[in-house]
Amino acid sequence: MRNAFTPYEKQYLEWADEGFPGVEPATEQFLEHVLDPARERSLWPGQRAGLLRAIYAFEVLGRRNLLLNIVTGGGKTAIIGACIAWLRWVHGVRSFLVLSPNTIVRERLRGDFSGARVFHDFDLFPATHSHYINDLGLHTLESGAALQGMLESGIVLGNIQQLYGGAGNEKLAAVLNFLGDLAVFNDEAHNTPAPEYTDVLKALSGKQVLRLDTTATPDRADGQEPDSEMIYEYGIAQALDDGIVKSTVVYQPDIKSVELTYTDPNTGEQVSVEEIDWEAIDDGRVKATKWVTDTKPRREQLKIALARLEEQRKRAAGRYKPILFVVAVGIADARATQKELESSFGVRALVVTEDSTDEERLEAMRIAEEASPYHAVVSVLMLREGWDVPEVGVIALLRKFSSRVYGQQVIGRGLRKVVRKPEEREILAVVDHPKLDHSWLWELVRAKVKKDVKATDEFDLDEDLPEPVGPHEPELVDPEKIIEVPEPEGGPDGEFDFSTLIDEVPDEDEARKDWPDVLASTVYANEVVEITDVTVKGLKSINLDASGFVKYKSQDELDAEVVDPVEEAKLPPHEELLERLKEQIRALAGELLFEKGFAGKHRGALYEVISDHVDNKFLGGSGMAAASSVHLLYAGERLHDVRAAFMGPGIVSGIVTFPLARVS
Amino acid sequence: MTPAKKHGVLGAPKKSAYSFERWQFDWERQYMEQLEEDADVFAWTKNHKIRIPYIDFQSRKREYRPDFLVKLATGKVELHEVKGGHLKHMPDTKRKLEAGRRWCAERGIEFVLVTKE
Repeated sequence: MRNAFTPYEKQYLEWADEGFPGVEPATEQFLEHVLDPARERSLWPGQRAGLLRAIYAFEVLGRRNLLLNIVTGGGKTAIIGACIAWLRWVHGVRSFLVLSPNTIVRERLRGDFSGARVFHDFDLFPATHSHYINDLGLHTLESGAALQGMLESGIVLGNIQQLYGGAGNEKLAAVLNFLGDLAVFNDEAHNTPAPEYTDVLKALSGKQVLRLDTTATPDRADGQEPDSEMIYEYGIAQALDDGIVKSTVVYQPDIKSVELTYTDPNTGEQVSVEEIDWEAIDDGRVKATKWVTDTKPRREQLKIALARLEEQRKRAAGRYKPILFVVAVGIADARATQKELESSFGVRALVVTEDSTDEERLEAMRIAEEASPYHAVVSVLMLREGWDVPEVGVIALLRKFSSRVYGQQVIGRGLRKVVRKPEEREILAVVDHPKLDHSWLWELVRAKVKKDVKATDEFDLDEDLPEPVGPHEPELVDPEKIIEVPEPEGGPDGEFDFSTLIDEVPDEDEARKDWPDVLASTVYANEVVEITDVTVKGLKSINLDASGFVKYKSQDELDAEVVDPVEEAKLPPHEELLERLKEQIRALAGELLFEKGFAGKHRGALYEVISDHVDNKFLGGSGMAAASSVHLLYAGERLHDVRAAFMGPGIVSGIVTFPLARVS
Repeated sequence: MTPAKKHGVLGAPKKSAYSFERWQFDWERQYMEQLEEDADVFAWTKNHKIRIPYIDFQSRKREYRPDFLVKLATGKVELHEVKGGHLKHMPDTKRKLEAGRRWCAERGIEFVLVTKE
């Protein structure tokens, strides 16, 4: 998925460094609170950046449809919580719809939002504004839940299926008819490009102030992507450097000591890894009960995995309970694996497949609690998302991933750190097999791969731990180098006297009421413009001059005579050029507001003024749509001069302050 | 494929009181290295709590964090504000610099503007 933020990256970093010019005053207060370095629980670097980018995209760039690509374990719930707090406080949004693709994801979110937990845990409101928390109660959409609860709670959480069915769905109707302006959050948003999901989002879009999608895998196996703009990628590399996810260590046996083979219990046919069509299994073309891992290789893989589990227990040193997660071929294989774990190794294992009851799924979420008798979970591909048990310390693979997305999702189950301190060094042990051909995945997660591992091998507990990551806050190590700043003369007198400052600041950019006259009298010198980025067949460059008279020349005869007027038919369609120019003007309006320190909400007004100006100066004044294609191209090329005119003292501030001024 | 790092730290600086110093922009890292090498500089840090009040372009009260607090070998204390050429023309930049000079003058320390084109 393309990062839509790339063109703004530099501006954004400067904006963040300069203390967020152009945002709403209350946003500034909010940020001052949540970014306060002295707070007890500070946001991680990725969480801070995710929140700031969402705010920048919304308030400065005026974007409404956003996606954050955050690695599993990167802490996206806190980002969603912080965005809700900001929208409630600053933008007066009262209804927040949090949508999940399935029950496992929903239950995780329910845990995070019930009792406004995330707002308390991360201290998202200062004491002066903590009353907003009362507005952020949780209502969960599920069968049997009264619609009334939806009206009384600020946050409505539900599986997307609860809103399926169009106008006939009474829950969707209630959202549309009874709730005010909405912010919509799609968690695990790679699920959104499904027709029914899209229909719901389309119905909601009329009421939505902001849509914020979150996912660790925006690129799906089928190549579709969510219909939102990706503004942030917080990937595994940065998360490892920041010390907030486990580093992966892969253990592979020698291909001769463990021959990974599978048998069809019905026919007795035996095959190797390469002979199975894994895609066909995952999309249901081959029955999930067809292949079962042979006992001998399975037992070897499990031995290696259980030795790793033992090592993980020693690393945990009684502080938590490490869990083994086995990924089987199909349901029959999962059952056989469970039996093997329990009868041969005495390890209690829980099977979770598509057929599992809700109780079994809840049991899987609670597995790391001391009270749970289980130490292992065996699953097929269904525990790919939402099942977040940080204690998963070993993943054993009996099968090959049919797609890159599945591979990342499964490994993601084990990336969350148990002890969430950057200085705590944790690993995820993955038992793999060379024949499974997963090296692309190990490169992606920057794993360390150990080959020729024998079932009896034992490893040093420390040797594979990641490089230590320092604490997030620097420590004082050399007191001699502390620099004391003297108190102001006359001692610290408390309040700073701002009035003296106001008198002294240069006021050269005072808003001009006569901005329409200034703009009208602007004279643009004729300029020959060469347009080289137009990909027109048979044309290498076009020269245009200010009169609108058009010549074109081939690259090697730039000094030659006028050859021929440009044939409009050779240019891109008029409609496309018109859209392109509008988009350029929109971007210019945003940029001018940013440079001059105004909020993005003035963009519409500024856009209108610039459009009129461009029309009058370059397009003949009868409206952009009426201008010829070459004129549109020409105007686009002259926008840098327009920019200079609007950068003049008092112009942008004048338009913002006196929007109704007219040429005198 | 992996997004480039957008921030980083300078580990174990010789002339800072702290275990590491954080940077946001590459030019900040470059300037840190320059301070480390400058024989006239005794100590420096970006990890200070200084907030300089100023009035922005829209007449709102704001605060900004100046870049570097520096102590020279002579004992003189300075604030170094590093600005890229592109920022010099922003209206708020001028106001901030003005406020920075005032803030320093009140405390008898030097305000230094460092420009990197």
